Amino acid sequence: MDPGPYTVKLEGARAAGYQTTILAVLRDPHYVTHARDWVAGLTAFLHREIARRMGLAAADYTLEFRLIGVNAALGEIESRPGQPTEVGVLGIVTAATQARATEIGKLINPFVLHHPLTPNEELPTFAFPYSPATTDRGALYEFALNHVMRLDDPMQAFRLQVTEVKAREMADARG
Amino acid sequence: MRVGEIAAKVRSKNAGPFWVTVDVFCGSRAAYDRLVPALSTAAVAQLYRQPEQLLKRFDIADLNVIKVSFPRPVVQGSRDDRDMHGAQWAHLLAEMEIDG
Repeated sequence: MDPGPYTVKLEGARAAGYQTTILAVLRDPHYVTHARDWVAGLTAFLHREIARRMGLAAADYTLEFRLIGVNAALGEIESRPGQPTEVGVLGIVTAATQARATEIGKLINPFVLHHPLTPNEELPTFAFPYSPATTDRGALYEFALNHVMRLDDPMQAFRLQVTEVKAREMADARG
Repeated sequence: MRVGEIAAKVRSKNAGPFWVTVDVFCGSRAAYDRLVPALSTAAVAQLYRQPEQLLKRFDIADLNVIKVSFPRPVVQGSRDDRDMHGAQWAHLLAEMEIDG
């Protein structure tokens, strides 16, 4: 058997933005029934508000709402979307800095709580399970490196630095 | 009938950050012999919205297991990932109706 060239697997991740999340729960049956339409309207409205109030373009951030109880785990491939009693609305903001994600979170907070399904109905108030409703998640990491490196010699890409520590020095260091 | 009503267990998990794998543990030779011909690879590809040629299917008679692997539509942990461990994908297959 020919083992082929000596290779090393390289895997790496990089920070791909910072996130702030928000969670609301819809129990009002009118909103539960129309949860997808509500979230589509809310998302369009928020993109306009974020552009107007923060001067951000669509490419500067992402805003996504996942409907827990409808299809949060599988998204568009869900074959049996729910007709639940209540719907969890998980909002995920991703931006280049935590400060920006946090600010977007603060901007969207009152609308996630009160956005009406249609312009002519009474403003609803949904359930926030805790306050403040937004949570900063810190950095988002994504895989960025998935390569195989060929080496002529196994140690070609690595350096060993050996430090010998005498037992007496270790004992002294421990005190 | 549904796959999950014939199989003992249907499980899914990541196979590295770029792939997901779904295991159908048939539990008996009888269930395996029933599921292997009834489970259409094309139907599984359609269920997961994957091109059929990207699906890798392994019918493992020694274990009474059918294993299907395919590339994750989004890489594990990336912004659009909904299921970090890919563990919930199995239920789509368990709930799939099959003939036989």
